[in-house]
Amino acid sequence: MAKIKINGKEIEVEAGRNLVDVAKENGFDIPHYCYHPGLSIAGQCRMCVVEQEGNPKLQVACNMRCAEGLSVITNSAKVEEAVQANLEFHLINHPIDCPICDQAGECGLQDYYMKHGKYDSQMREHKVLKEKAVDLGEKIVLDKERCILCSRCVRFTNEVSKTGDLAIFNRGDRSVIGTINDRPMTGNYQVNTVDICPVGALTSKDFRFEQRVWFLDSLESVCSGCSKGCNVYVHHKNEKHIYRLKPRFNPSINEWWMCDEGRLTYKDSNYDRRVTASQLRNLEMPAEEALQVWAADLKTLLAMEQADGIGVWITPHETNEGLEAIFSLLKKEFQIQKFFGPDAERIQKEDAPADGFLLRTDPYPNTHGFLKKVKEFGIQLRGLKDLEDQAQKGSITHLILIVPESEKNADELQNLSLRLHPDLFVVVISPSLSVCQLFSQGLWLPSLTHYEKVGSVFNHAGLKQNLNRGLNMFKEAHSLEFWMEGLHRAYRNPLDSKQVSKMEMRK
Amino acid sequence: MIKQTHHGRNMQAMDLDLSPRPGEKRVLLEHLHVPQIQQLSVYESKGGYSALKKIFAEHWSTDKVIDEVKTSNLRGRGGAGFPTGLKWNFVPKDTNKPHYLLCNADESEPGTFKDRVILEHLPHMMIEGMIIGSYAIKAAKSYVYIRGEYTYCTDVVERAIEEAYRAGYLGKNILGSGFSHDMYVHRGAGAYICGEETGLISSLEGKKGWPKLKPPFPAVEGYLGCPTVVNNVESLASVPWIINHSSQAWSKIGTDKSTGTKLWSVSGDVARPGVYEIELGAPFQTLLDCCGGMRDGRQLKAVIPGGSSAPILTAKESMEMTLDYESIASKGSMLGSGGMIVLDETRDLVQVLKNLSEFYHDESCGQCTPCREGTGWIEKILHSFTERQARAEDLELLKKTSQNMIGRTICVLADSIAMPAISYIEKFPEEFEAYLKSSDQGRAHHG
Repeated sequence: MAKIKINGKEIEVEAGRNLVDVAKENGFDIPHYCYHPGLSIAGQCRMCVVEQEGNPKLQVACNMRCAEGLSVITNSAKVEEAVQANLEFHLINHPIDCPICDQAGECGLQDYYMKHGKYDSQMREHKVLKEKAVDLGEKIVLDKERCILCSRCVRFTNEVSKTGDLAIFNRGDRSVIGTINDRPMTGNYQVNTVDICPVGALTSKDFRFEQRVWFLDSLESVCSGCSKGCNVYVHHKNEKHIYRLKPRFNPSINEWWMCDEGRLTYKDSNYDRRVTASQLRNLEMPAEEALQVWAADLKTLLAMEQADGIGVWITPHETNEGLEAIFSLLKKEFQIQKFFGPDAERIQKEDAPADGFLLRTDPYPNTHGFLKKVKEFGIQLRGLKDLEDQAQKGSITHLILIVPESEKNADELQNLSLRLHPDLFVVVISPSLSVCQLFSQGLWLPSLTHYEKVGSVFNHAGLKQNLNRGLNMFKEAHSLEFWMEGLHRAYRNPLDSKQVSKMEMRK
Repeated sequence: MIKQTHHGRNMQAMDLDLSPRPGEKRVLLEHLHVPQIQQLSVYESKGGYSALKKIFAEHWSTDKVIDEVKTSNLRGRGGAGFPTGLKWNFVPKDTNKPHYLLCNADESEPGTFKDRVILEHLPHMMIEGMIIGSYAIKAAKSYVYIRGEYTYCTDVVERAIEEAYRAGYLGKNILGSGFSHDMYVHRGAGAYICGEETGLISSLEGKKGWPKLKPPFPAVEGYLGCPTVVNNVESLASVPWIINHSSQAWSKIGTDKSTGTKLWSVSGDVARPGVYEIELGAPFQTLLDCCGGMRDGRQLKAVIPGGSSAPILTAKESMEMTLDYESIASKGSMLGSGGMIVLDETRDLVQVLKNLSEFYHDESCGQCTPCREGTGWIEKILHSFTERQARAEDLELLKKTSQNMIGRTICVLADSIAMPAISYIEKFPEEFEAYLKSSDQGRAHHG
């Protein structure tokens, strides 16, 4: 531990910690562009200058480590003047094209300008012109004029993704970021460079021109793309549409980063991929009616002691709470025995980093929790092949498919959909339109995608993470807990004939 | 060792009369006029490598070598003037990492060409100094980082290193001392910034020539992260003399604080530009006389004393100063590398400053924002002066912009144009005012 002083305030910190971080934690904001806690120290932007006791020259805070007796001033007139001047240098050749820039609203230049700007430009010379809208491959677009050459992206590709894609070419105010021989950027971590770019130089093709950031709200969540469980912010508008995911710092999982594949998982939540109302054979109906139809069919089978003819397909994509609801009702209450799903045990055993960094081979966000629940409820899980055979033979007559949102689930179930026995009744509980469309003769119950759910998941290391808030994107899409509760209710309280005839009339 | 020679466009050796001029005090250049002194046998015949032999014959400890150079108070001749012995002493004594000595021969500041004389004519003196320095800091390898344009010098130095290997001054177990050392030549690729010591290190490491953030300092973490000393050619070439004649003998030359002699490369409006070795502390007139006075009998207007990055001095200040670190600093400038540019009454100092600003704008590495953006801005403002487009407020803006660049960056390239700019404005305001006035007229004329 070391005692240091910032602006006269005594602070006790762990010796050796970076001054910019410590200052921030204690409410002293030291402006900076090139410093990033996840990257090496560059000391280039010169924005983080502070006065150090006993040193006549201003020093950069990013290169200072907390040591006993360190005393710095971050808010003196001398510091403010230097910060103002440095910001002015950053801006003199910047195009200031904020009205057409994606970064506007979350831009380091804008933020510091409001705080440290001169508000009266003295630059009357021609600006240095550079290339705009440079294509860096499938994910990134670079604007060389907006770039302030902080080198964060270069250090990221050298130190974190280790792809070495980016470098600074040329020198002086002709310096530009670029790739060697204009090759496209590579790897599964490119979009992190957009996150750490403090200005609008690097923009994500996926998000570019899609939405103004000040219209977006943020939700804390966990990525659904694999078993890693990277912490994310879900940026959505009015709970109606998700526009992007951003990594959320978690020192024990993903630090500041996430993979590009995971970033795209939000797309399955938006309307164009969703089932938004309950349907039976393409006929829309209220949830309550759909539940009645389902409960009636189940009841017939169970009353005839034909639980054996009921099959359930479920994956480790669901939350612990969703699984609890499913197994409590279907296994414990209804005594259904035939559960099918991916070979979670093998998937977990073989789970390993897929690309040397964050992404893992296990594609499910809750395999750990799934196996726990399966064991807890004494379920013998069978494979897809088995299900396909039984569904074809007709030894299953009532099939409940609980399928998550991602496209690969539709691919997986395609074969099954082609082999269904004509008498089989299928209930698909899924948010995914492409999954439901495979089973056009079935009953569709729209469920939630990962980012809409409230609950918890276990990541590959057994760490429990909560999805605290969830989203309410579509009125008729509901959680598994809702559907199970509804099924149970409908099962116990069937509608009377009067109500049923009303329903018939409506059809 | 490097066998390759360079067959590119070779610079001619400087066509100079090499005999001493009255007023010079030749210590390093004592044997400069001796024909073929760049050859080992000739250098040896004039006492060459006797310092190295002395150290090994008398079993000098590394500390003793460092102490000797420390007491001589030899100050670095590259520009910063940091005491050489002290620099050697900063190398940690208890690391397992290899140590390196780098000779900075990337002489590229406008007005500075004094190392070239040593590289062309006295390469063995530099090599001898490098071997002694390497012994002192326990470096098994040293590099001569030589300016890319100095192709002729590169050939001379490479030949000299080959000769030194053959004679057993380099290689394994030098002169039976048990000390082994290898020396390499590395050519720069034409960037001024690679003469900055940490920029040089980055370049030698194969990276872009960007100066490094300090701390850590090179003495602790330099080339390849190992303890490294970077010395100027002239500093290293002074070492054999100091060992041969003792530090006391060296410090008897010059003043108390500025010991020894200094090579001055004088260019500009003098009758006889060239490189002269002058005792530190001599009056400016002594050097001017060596140069045969002002060209065509014109009047002295100003002097840039220590390379183009040194603030300018008026004629009066120049005539008052003596040629040592302290006196020049007291006039608000610096001795720097000893690259002196003499300007006569016909010179337009706004044009001179604009010319220099073009150089610094071009050579800024672009790493730190104030330098990257500021050098270009300064050049543009000065250009608007010379094109008679400047506004009254531009003079103040030029000064303010310069002030905002000083001391705000990793290395001193920004200071190297900002400090001169301020000095030109403060010492010759009338020249800037004249441009402003003609700008007014120009604007009035054009309506």
